[in-house]
Amino acid sequence: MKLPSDLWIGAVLTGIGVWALWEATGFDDRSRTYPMIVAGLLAVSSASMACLSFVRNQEQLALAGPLRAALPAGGVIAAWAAALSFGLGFLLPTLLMQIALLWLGGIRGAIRILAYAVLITAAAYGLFVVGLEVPLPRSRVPGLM
Amino acid sequence: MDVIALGFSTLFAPGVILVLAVGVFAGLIVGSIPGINDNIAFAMFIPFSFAIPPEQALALMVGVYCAAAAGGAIPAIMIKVPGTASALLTAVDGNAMARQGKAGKALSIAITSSVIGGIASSLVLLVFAPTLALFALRFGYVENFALAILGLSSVVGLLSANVLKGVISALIGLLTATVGFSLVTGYPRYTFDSVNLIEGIPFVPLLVGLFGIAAMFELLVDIWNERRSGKAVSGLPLIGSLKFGWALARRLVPVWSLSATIGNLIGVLPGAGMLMAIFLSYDQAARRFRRRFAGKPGEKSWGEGAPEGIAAPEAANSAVTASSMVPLLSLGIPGNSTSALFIGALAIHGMVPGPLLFTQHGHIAWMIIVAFLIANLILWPAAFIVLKSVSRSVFAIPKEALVGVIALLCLLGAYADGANSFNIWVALIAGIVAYGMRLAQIPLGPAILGLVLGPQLESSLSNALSISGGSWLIFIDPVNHPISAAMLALASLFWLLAIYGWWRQSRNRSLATRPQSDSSPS
Repeated sequence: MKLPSDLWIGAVLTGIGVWALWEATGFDDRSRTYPMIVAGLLAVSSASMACLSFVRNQEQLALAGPLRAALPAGGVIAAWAAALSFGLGFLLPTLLMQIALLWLGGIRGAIRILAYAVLITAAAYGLFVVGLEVPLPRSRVPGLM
Repeated sequence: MDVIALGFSTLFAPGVILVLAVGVFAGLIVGSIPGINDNIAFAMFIPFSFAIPPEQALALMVGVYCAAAAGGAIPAIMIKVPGTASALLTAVDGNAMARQGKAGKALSIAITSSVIGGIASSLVLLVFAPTLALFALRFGYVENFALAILGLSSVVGLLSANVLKGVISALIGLLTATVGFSLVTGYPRYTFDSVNLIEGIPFVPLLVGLFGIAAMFELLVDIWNERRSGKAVSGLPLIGSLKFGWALARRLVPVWSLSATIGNLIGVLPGAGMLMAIFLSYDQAARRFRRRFAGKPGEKSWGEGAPEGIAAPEAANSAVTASSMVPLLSLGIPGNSTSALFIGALAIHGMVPGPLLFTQHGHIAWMIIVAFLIANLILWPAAFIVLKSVSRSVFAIPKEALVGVIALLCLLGAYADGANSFNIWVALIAGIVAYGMRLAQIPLGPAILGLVLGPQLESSLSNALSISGGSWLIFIDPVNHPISAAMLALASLFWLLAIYGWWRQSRNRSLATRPQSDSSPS
């Protein structure tokens, strides 16, 4: 799957610039000038990038790798962050996240994946919780750290 | 001299020097893992700074920074996979020499060159950073605004490949820096009524995400691409003897001198980056080699195991490490992306780089400077210990397993900054944005600089305009503000050069494609 990168990214960034500019009009007089200048410049530069993509040879954005490898990893991390925020404890969500990331990374074999996941989770727990005394998010599940 | 002694006395406190040595060993080991670049290595170690005193934390970071750049040469030579981008060219002649059964000699040349380049740049840092900081103390709002513009222009100006994308990147950084309370009036901007955004987007999670999480995504996609292409890594060459004779050392002296000079000159330019120094010094070494040694009996061809091809990039990349700290420590402008991460390490302990670091935390500023020198001295024996003992085990770590390790270290590091789950989301979103920028070939450097310089730019602009009654001419007033006028003139020059370079590249491209389009059937 491929997309003409400059056109799409230019359009998205123009949208962000216009939104930031519009949002800045609601700030008080002295706080609005600087973000309005920056947002306006972002909108104009991004629109120029999108327009230039019509007159130049467009570079194609190869999305197969990112969609198959990076996007699922982002989803796994988001699920882990949500699990921590909802109070499911540290150990179980982290172990599951590691299993998913190792599998996405290409490691195969249930025992191998589980061994790596347990090792990494235990090392991180030892380092951050025991060693650096970082307080973990509270678990709402009794008995689950 | 008193201040240098202060730096040494802070560094040589038992815990601090020990942590520096640990940082050197850890940086060497992590830097020698293929796929882990200097930025990832640094981002992975930031979490450790939370729990230890600032002196130890920053000594650890200096050790990691110096050693990770040098460690990248080990896999570059042994398996032709550069551990860091800085060892990109070392892989060419280094691996060729290793495949000829002289891996030990190649590694020895690389490490010695790194140490020499590193020591040279430490001396540059020692001399120039404090002098420049003293000069910068005289800066007012007008000069600070001009300095921020100069910093941004230097990085955007160096990206002649696509100036527009450099500008967009800088604007993304500047806009992101406006999130939170206005520094001028205290008005909340782009906060979406979230208490987590009132003080702006948390900086450490943002940096960890931009570098660490984005690198994890890249690593995953690399692995995916490698699996599709069915690429396999060949067996390791034997390390053998690490000795190289005095004759070769004498032959390499001019290469070391020139490469260290190039590395230092480029390192002090904000945003110039390590790669430019490496390519320039490699080119100079190639010219010298062809002039003096090519075709002589017993000499390999360039690219097939020439010692200069290892010495030049390694001396240059290590020369960039400390010299890139000159603009950071003296002016608060990061010299490259890794030194930008240093801002995060300082921020964790409530410190801001720039001239005030020398007045408010003098012992720390001087300790950082002398730590670069000592780290490079420790690096030489440490590298040989690592080569002889742990290198082979390091190469045995599967790349696939690193994905989970990098993700967890970075995410927990982001969380540890205030023990706030919101930081995990910041790191994740920053990682996605940085990876998206990489895909779209929008450089990350200007965005980092925009993030760092944004608050300074806004507050100095607002205050300077208040002083001048709204007149923008105050910035180019050659009588009352000559430094500002000079800095803005220099910034304009950077822009003109960049635009000229861009125009020339576009013209060359169109000239190159014209014959094809002319000959194509209408």
